[in-house]
Amino acid sequence: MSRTIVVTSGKGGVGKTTSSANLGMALAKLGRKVVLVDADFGLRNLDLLLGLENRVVYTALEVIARECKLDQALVKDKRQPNLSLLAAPQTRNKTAITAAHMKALVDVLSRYFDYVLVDCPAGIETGFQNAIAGAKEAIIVTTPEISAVRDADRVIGLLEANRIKDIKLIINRLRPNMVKTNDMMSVEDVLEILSVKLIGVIPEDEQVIVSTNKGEPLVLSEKLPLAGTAYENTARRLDGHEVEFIDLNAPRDSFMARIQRWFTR
Amino acid sequence: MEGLPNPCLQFQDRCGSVCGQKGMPYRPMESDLPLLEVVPEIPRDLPLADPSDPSPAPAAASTIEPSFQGASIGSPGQGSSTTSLPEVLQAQFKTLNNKLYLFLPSPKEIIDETGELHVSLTWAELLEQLEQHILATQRQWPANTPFYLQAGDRLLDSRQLQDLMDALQHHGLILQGVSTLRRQTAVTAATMGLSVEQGTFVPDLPGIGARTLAADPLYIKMTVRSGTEIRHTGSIVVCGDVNAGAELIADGDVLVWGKMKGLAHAGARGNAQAIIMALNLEAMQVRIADFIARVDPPTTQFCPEVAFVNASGRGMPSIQIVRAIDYSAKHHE
Repeated sequence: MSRTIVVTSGKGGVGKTTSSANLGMALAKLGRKVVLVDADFGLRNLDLLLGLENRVVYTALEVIARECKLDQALVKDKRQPNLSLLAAPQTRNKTAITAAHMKALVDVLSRYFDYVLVDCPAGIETGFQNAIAGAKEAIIVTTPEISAVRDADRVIGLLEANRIKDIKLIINRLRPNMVKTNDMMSVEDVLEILSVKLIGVIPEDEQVIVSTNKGEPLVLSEKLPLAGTAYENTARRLDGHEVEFIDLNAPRDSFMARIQRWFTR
Repeated sequence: MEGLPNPCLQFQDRCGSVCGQKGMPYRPMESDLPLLEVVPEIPRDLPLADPSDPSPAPAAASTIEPSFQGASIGSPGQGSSTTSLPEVLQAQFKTLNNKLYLFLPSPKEIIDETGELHVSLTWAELLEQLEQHILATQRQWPANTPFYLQAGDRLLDSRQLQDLMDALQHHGLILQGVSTLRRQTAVTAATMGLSVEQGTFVPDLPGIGARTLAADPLYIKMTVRSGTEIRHTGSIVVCGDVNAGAELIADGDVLVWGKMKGLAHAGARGNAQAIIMALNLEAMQVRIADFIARVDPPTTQFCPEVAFVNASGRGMPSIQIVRAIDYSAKHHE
């Protein structure tokens, strides 16, 4: 049974694209066939994060315009053949397609893939409406900031109004030290407001920036950084496994030990 | 809210604590904001407002029966075309004589300073609102329940009617007939094979009108999220939390069985007897009739509270927030 999931947030810059790329890659590593669809028309980034920029020939727009076949536009990742990307056009804007187009596209993709992950643009206008058109489930990405949480709340309301009821939450860029000193909202604070199912807590990690610049998702690293582990766990939860949440408050020095423990488990 | 209420800002005691304290973690407040000045002088037309408002002076009124004629919120062009068009604030269902009716609100036209015309509540917004309404009230119908559309002043084309039919089919509803004030909508509906009634408002049901629509409280069982606005001509009851950024605007009372963090406006049409009750009143601001009060950051202590307009005590009538038990004691003596 194929799953079509939109990754959205409302607010920009909270890590939608990073989360899409890493979840997609992690799910592919679990042996699922995954296609990532960049729905951020005019501001495409997903290909950059995956390091596939130079291999994009056709985009979703050409597929919709019937200028190419679907499989011509799908870029298969060489590092992880289970993962494909359907890029967004960079030269057009969000009015280039309609919700009906998007739905048709996603429906076709869902016949060939286990997971169709749609990376949604920020905002709640046309681009958002298009991106959620074909989705049955949603992943909300938020950071523990009041503005991001407020926008996430709004988006959850909109998703529910669009009959997307299966909504899961990723809290990104959490800084446990700041939570401890009461300078940042805790996971519990966020959950209290949003009251949706939590499937991932990603700690703030410098490696995320490094991996973005390299075009290599975190989960592909040989030595998995903490955020990478968190993404892998999130993907496994999404795939229906029970995985315990990492204790982010454990002391820093036992960090590698914890990772090793996790691997040998 | 038609015409901002006369802002009569009062800092009030809240559960015995003095207001004006600061310290809400994510919302630093400055007490010297110009808007929030404590105004010692009496607001101009006290208490409850608008001389043009035909509804009886709320101080004297014991019931909430807003007058719909003329006091409409921006639905232009009505009144002349019909005798008893009730005002529908949001899409809502109503069963009358064993028939299920769906009432659609009229589009609101707003002309801004530059003279440009904006239509609020577009079709997409309306569909979204309808879906949210069904979700919120958790209404369920057996498959293939027939319903009748009261489109009022709203112009509908065939695609919109189709949208509506598709959307409601998901909930087991089948469109049977359309009542409309618009000739064009009537023609469209007839072309689609629907039974049509044009020009009058529910002519076969003389008793229906403003009162019937207003009387029912709106019961909502969900988290009301940021950006959701719920307007109702009666009272609103929410079983769940109301998050910051959400708005509840009722002509009657507002009762929240949960946390109330959004904006609540009770007695929106001038009834100062209306109250706002919540298990946990964390709203930034409460409004009753034409009164506005800024609410203090709540104490950590959890207690159900009631906000009401205190007109009996010394000084200016103003909104007070008291613990629910104190309110009951006071009002049952």
